Amino acid sequence: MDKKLRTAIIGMGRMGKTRYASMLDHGGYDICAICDTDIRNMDGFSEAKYTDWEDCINKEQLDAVIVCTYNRFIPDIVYVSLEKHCHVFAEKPPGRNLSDAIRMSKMATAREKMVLKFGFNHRYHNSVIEAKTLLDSGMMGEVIAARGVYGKAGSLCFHEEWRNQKEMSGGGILIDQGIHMVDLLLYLVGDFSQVQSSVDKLAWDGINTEDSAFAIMKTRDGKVASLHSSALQWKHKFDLDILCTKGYIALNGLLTSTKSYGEEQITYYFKDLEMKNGKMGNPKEYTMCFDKDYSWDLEMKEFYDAVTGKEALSNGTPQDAVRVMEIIERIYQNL
Amino acid sequence: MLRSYAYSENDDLSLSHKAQAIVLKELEVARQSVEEIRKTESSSKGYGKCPVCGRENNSFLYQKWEVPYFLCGKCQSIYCQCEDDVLDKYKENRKMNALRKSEEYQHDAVKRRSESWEELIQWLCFRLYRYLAGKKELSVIDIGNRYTGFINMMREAEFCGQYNLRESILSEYDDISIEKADVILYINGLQQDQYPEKKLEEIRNCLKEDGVLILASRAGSGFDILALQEKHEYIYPYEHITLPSVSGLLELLCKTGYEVMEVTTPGVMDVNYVYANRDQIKNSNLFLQSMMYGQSSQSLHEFQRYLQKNCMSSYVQIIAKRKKYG
Repeated sequence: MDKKLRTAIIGMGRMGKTRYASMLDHGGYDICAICDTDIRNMDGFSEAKYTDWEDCINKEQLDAVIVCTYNRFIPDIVYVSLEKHCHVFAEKPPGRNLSDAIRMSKMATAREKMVLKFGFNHRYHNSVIEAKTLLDSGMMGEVIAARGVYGKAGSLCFHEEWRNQKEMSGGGILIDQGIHMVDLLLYLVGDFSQVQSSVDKLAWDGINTEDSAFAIMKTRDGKVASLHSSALQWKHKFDLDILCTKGYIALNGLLTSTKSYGEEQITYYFKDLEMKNGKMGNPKEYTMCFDKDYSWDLEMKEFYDAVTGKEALSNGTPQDAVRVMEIIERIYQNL
Repeated sequence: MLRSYAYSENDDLSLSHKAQAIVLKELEVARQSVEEIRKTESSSKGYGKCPVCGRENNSFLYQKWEVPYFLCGKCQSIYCQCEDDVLDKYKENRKMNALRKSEEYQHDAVKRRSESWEELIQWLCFRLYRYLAGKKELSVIDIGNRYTGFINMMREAEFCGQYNLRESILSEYDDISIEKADVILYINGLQQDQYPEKKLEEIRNCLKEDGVLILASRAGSGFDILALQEKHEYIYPYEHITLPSVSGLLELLCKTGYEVMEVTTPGVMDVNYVYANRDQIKNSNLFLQSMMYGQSSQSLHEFQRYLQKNCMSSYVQIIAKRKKYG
C-alpha cells in the first residue's frame, strides 16, 4: 500500500465492527481511533477510545472518518469531518431525510478535494455485479421493468429497536432496509420521474413508523419498477426481477453474515420464441450461486482508491445519496 | 467460489454430442492405434508421478485397453503415463486425424453441437465482458480447437478481434501469430497433456498482463468418470491421459502463477453417460444401480443439476488471470 490513511471509526456497533474488519483486511487504513457512546462496544480494541465524536475528530490527526452511528447523528458528524478536511465514509441512510442528504452533499461540493462516500454495499454483492454486467453488455437488450421485494422477519423487540423510532432513524423499514432496493433500482433501471406509493403500518404495534412500503416508479422513458419493503415477510427475503427486451434476470437471496437471506443467486435466461428448448415459455435458465461476500471489502477499497486518487468514486456518491433520498421522500409522501 | 448450473426442461437422457457411427469409428481407430503402439513400444512409465501435483507412489485405479490408469493419493486426479514419443505417435495418427478432419465428422459436429457452441460463445461474451471491463476487439488464441464450425463461430463472435488457432489438426486455419493475447482458450487440451504445469506456464507467457485464460477439461473427480471408470465409452488412452480433479487443477493454476476468478462444472452429460451404461455399473455400487434403474428421467435430470452446482460434473470450466505480484 502506498499510503496509510489515518482513520477514526465513529460508532462501533455492528456496522462499525464490520467496517473495522474490512479496513484491516485492506491494509491501507491506519485505524488510530474509535468512538462510541457505549464503551462496551469498544471492548477488546487497542486503538485510542473516545465517547465523544467531536473530541475524537478534534484531537486526532485524521485523513478519514468512518461514520457508523444512528441515522440522526450522521449528518452532523459528516459535516464537521468534511469541515476539518477529512475524507468521509458514512453508512446509509444519508441522514433522516432529503434535506440532510442535500446538506451533506453541499458540504462535499464545498470541500471538493475531500471524498464523501455513502455505504450502499448491495451494489457490490456478486449477484448485483453480475446483473449489472449483463445489462451493460447489451446482451439482455434494454430494461423494461423491475420488481423488488425486500422483507424482514422483525423480532421480539422490534418495537424497541431504534430503527423503528422516527426521531432516531427518520422512518421505518423503508429508510432502514428498503433504501438499498431503491438504490439498486436507480442503479439498474434508471432515474425515476414518477412515484406512487402506499406506506402503512399494517401489523406491528408499538412503533411510530411504517412496517410496509409499496411503491410504483416510472422513468421518463417509460421503464417501470415496483418495490415492496416490509417487516411483514416473517422471513428474510431479497428478490429482484429485471425484465429486459431480450431476456430476464432474477436475483434471489443475499449473502450476509447471518446467512438469513438464503443463498445468493442470479438466474438469467434469454427470450426464446423459437422454442430451442422444445417448449414455449420454458427457455434454458442459467444460475450462478455465490458463497462468499466481498461487498464490504470492495466498498472500502473503492473509498481508499478514491481518497488516494487512484480511481474516481463511482458508487455511493453524494449525488447518488441525494437521488435515493429524493425517491425515499416521495415514497413517504404516500401518494 | 462461484458455482453455476444451467437448467433446461429438456430431460432427454438419450442426448448425445456425436452420432453413434462416428463414435464407433473414432473408438475403433483409437483402439487400433493404442494396440499398435503397445506392440512396438514400452509405452508405460510405470506408476510415474501425478502430472497435476507431482505426487509419486499413487495407486492403480483401472486398466483400459491394457493401459493402466492411476489415482493420485493427494489431489485425486486420474492419469496414465506414457513415453513422450508414444503420445506423439498417437497424436500424429493419420487415420484418426483424417477421420476428424473429414466432412462427415465435421458436419456431424456442426449438427449436434451448434447449439452448445452458441451457448458457449454467449457465455464467453458475458464472462469476458465481466473480466475485461467491456474491452472490445479482443485478441484470441485458441489452442487445439478441431471443429471448423466452432472455429468459424469464434472468428465471427462479437468480442473477437484477432483470432489465432494453434496446435490444431486443422492447420490450414492457422492465422498470423498473436504474441500476447487478451484471451486464451485452452479447451479440452489439458486432458492430453503429460506436462500440464509446463503448458500452463507457457500459456501464461502468451497472456497479456490483464488477459484471461479460459480453460476447460474433463475432470477426474467428475461423476461419470468415477462411476464408470474403464467402462466409460468416451474416456480412453491416449486421448485422455490427464484427468485432473477440480481441486488439483486449482492448485496447479495457483502454482503456475494464475489467479482463479471462477470455477464451474457446467457439464450436461454425466448422468446421460452413466445411464446409457447403467448395465456396466459394478454390483458393489448398489446405490448407483438403484438410482439409474429406479429414478425417473426428471429426477435424474435434477441430479445432473446438483452435479453442476456442486462442482461434481466431469466437465470443468475455469476462468483465470495472471496473478499480480506486489
